[in-house]
Amino acid sequence: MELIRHNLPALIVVTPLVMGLLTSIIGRRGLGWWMAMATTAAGLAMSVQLLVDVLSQGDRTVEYLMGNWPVPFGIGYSVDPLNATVLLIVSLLSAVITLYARKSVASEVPAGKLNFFYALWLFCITGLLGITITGDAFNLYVLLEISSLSTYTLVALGKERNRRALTAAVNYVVLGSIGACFYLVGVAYLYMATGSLNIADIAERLQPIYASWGTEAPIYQKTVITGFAFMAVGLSLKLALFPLHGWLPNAYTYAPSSVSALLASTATKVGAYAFIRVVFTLMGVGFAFGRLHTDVALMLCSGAAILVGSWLAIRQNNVKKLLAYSSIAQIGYIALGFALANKDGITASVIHLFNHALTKGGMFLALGVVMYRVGGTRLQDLRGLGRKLPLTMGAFTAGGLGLIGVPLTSGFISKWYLVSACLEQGRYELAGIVLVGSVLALVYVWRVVETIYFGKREDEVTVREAPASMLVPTLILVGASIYFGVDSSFTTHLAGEAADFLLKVKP
Amino acid sequence: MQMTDLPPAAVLFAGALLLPLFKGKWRFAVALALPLLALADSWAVITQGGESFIPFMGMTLQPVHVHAATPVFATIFCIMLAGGVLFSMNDDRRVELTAAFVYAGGALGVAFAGDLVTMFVFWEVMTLGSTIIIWSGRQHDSYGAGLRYFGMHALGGVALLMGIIIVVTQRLHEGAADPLAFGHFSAMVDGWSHLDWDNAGMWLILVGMLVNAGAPPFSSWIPDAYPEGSTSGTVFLSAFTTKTAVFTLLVAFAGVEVLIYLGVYMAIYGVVYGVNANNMRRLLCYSLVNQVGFMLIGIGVGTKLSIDGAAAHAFAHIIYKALLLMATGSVLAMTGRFRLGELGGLYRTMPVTMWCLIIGGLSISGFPLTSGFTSKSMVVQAIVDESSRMAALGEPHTYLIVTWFLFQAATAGVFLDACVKLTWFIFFQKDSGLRPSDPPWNMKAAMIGFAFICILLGVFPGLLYQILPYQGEAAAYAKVVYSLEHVMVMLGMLGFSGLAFFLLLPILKRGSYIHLDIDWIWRRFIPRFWKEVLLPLLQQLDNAQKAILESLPGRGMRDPSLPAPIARRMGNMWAVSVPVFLIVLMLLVYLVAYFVLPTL
Amino acid sequence: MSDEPKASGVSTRALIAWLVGAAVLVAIVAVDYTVHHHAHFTADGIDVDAMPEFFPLFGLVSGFVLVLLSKTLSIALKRKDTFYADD
Repeated sequence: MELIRHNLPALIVVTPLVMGLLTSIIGRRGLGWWMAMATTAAGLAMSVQLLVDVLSQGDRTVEYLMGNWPVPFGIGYSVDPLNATVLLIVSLLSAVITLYARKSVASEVPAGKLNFFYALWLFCITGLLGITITGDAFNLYVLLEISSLSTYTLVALGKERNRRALTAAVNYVVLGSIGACFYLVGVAYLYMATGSLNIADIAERLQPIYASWGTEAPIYQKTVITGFAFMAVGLSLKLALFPLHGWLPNAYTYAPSSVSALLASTATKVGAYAFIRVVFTLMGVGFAFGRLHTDVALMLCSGAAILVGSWLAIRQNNVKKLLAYSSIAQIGYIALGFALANKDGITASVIHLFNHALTKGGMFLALGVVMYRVGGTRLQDLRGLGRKLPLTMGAFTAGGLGLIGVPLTSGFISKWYLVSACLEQGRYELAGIVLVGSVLALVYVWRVVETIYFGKREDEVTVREAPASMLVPTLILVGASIYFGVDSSFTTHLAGEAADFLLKVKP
Repeated sequence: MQMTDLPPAAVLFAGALLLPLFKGKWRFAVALALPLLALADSWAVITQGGESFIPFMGMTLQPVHVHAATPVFATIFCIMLAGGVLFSMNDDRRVELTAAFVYAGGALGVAFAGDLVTMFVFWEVMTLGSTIIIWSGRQHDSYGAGLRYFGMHALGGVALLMGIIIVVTQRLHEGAADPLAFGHFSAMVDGWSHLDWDNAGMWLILVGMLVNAGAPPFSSWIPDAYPEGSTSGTVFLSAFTTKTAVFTLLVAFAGVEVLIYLGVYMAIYGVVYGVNANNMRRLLCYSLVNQVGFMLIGIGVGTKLSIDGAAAHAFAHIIYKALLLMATGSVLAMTGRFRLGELGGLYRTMPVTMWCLIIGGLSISGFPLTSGFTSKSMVVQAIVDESSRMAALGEPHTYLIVTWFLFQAATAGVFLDACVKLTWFIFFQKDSGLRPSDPPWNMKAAMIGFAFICILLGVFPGLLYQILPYQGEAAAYAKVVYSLEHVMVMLGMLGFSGLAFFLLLPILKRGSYIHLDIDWIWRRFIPRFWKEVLLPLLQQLDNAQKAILESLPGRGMRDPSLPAPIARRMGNMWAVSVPVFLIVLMLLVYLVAYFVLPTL
Repeated sequence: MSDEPKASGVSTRALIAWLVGAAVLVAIVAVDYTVHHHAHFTADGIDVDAMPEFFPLFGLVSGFVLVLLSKTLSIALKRKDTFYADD
């Protein structure tokens, strides 16, 4: 046991990788899901244990050296409250969504490709967990590509339902590769300046470089700044921060239901995490925000993301796409939180990472039920489903209330901290934007809710409530999203720890 | 479990859940019993104390708390619900009845809310309940009116929530012991005329509450939405939203001077628009604004007597306004007509309804021996007292004198409008040829019961005075309320205002008209401006953008079958070219900014 | 009263109503002269409301002013009640 516990940081990434490889070579049909389920359940247990370990440390960090090679020569994994939280989000959501996936995926993906699907599924989760846990900038790129490549394929597997999934996947491949490539170019520039790839090490070696800039002989000034610009743009794209959100709506819309749920609740969250890590730990707030004013750019982008994303969400007729645009707006809230760079702001960001993953994940799962039972997710497919799928649609509605930020839902908690953070910085206009975003969310949620409960179906099809294996995960996620709105002590404590940690390491 | 462990609002919410399970007489019995149970529970909590506390985000929620004004408002909310249920019971309106319980439960929840978050949650519950009541009204514009109503209150709710967040944030920074507390914002009384960061939160809360109170410029939602309820729905609607707003203003903003000005405006506005109104229930909605104006004046003056007066007036008003709307609702139910010009001569066959309407009309005008007389005159007296106190201190107080005269004028006006005019046009004027009978027994019983309360409170004001926030002041005032001089002042003023009505009758002919209000801006001007100015402009821009994009390389990947209005172009990024272009653009922007900004 | 009734019986009734109403108003004014009226704002030298005929007159004038104000506004703001329904 002690061996496992000591090697947790490595196991959490290696387990899904190995299991994914095994899944891809086994021939027995139906075994894929069981392997994915076992792996993600184990992953959840490991990340809970890791979180407990991290919070019990005095300095709130757990370091791990791959193969005991010392950094910066080997790859070091470093877990602190921030990435422990994100690990929990990713492994929790992937476990719940895998639980849900069996019937949904079987109905949307050809039977012959199921094992292949679950192998990719596990690779994707490997990548996401790896990005979160690694302390090495180049290793982060490798894992980013692992998750991205598997995601492209997962999206393309939606082609059985709609050929547009292929177009969406191709778009995603092009844009995602550019984003990853930009990130890699950024890392290369920093390597040139510092000669290191370990995040903590780079941060340390950047200090004398920053110090030299005011003087007669500035070293590597252009190199570092250009490197950061590439990283910022590349990660903005991974994060789908407006205006670089172009790949997201179609990828989410035409992917298989479970994939949409997994992407919406984890992929952009990990992107946001990577951005936070680069700004706060790698480059330092003093450089990224204080000197280069990236915070202003982020505030502009996130403010626009909230308004434009919500506005476009209002105009959608496909509910999956509506939720995708809503995600773009919600990413705006997350980015806005850490752009404010005060305790409430980062707390809001991290809480929203968590709450939005639960809420949006739950809503996509509810839509997956609609896909499974009705065969489409356009507004007219949802007409009058309030009576036929009362539990699923109730869950969807409760999730919608969370998107608006109604009190006693988790969305309210995030927005509360976000608005407080805006007010603390004296950014009243941003607080105003957050509230306008809520009103717009009210409109797009209302459009769907009205259709669900008041819409008249022309075709009197018999639709039964979702099977338990799909209903239970949906209710778990939405129930958790409501629970953390009523009792937010767990999430606020975690997010507070993460915020304290990030602000303490401010150079 | 003791009764005091049960939050009063929970009784009504339980009712909302239970009622759909019952049928026929049983539902009737349960629906009547629950408000009375809630009343008993309220008083158990009020007398024995049932404060409860719940931890929330490191702070404390206090969902059951007894404010000084809680007894009077909790009592009237329960009585009102019972009366409304009785009135509605001959017609099977299951959705409306359930919504009414949610709505009244929200109102009762606000009356017992000890913290801002609880208050806000119940506030929004009320919005939901009342919107559903409007939607189940089945009048010709119920749906549209309900949407406008909901939009208005959603915006008011956002202002309220924003204000609460700011206030709580400020209190947290100051290290306040109970940052969520819902009580009097003392700082606002002195600082109301300046708007700065330190009271911005309070201003927003004030605005949120005023939207619900029907204060200008948002008075028009009352006459817009309420007449679209069903006969019983409008009765429920008239009671809770505005009076809950009065309650919260009374708790939080007593003594804020701006309320006096808003109140005077509302008092006059209600009469001026009411005189022109042709829809009898809309006329009563205008007079509702007028009466809430009187309450705001009482809250704004802020002395103990004026606060008592505002609270007492809210109590009396709920009864007689409900009575008036029940009477007009009966006329609507029995004739199917709501325009005053199409009614007339009904005194022959609807005597009970007529007398109930007259008693309600006399009460709303403050006629001696009715509840309006004993409640409204407290506010009038408080203005005089405060004015002489300030005169003795040498402080400016002309606005109080002006307020007093305008208050009296509006009182005369509302008698002319809501009592004489309404009675005359419905029951007398020409013979419309209609011979409807009085309404079914339950509607009559509800009307007679409420008419009885109007008279009861007029004759024995002490019954109401003893549950007011400041009972000492009220008890002292009870000794002078029926002075001969006071009675004669009202008789003279009201009598001659009635004379003015009959002298002016030739110009008071009814036509099928409405009168534009400030809501014209968002119902007509903004939609038209959007459709005829902004949209064509955007389309021009769209064409320009299209031309630019078409000239870019790589447009071949765009799906040519897609139409391209401006917003859809941003939504349907099928082609890779635009996002890639944006990526490069962003990189350029970042690089330029990074290299230029630090050198500045 | 606004529209002249054709049947003489109704007209008589209207006449009686007018007479009774007038008698009540006269009685009110008469009683007013026997009651002592206080001025409400003596400190400001306003004593017009101490006159016994003040409140009857004030009620009459208020009624007139409010109705005329309302009718004046009506000229500009009057619309057919299908105004918003036309959209």
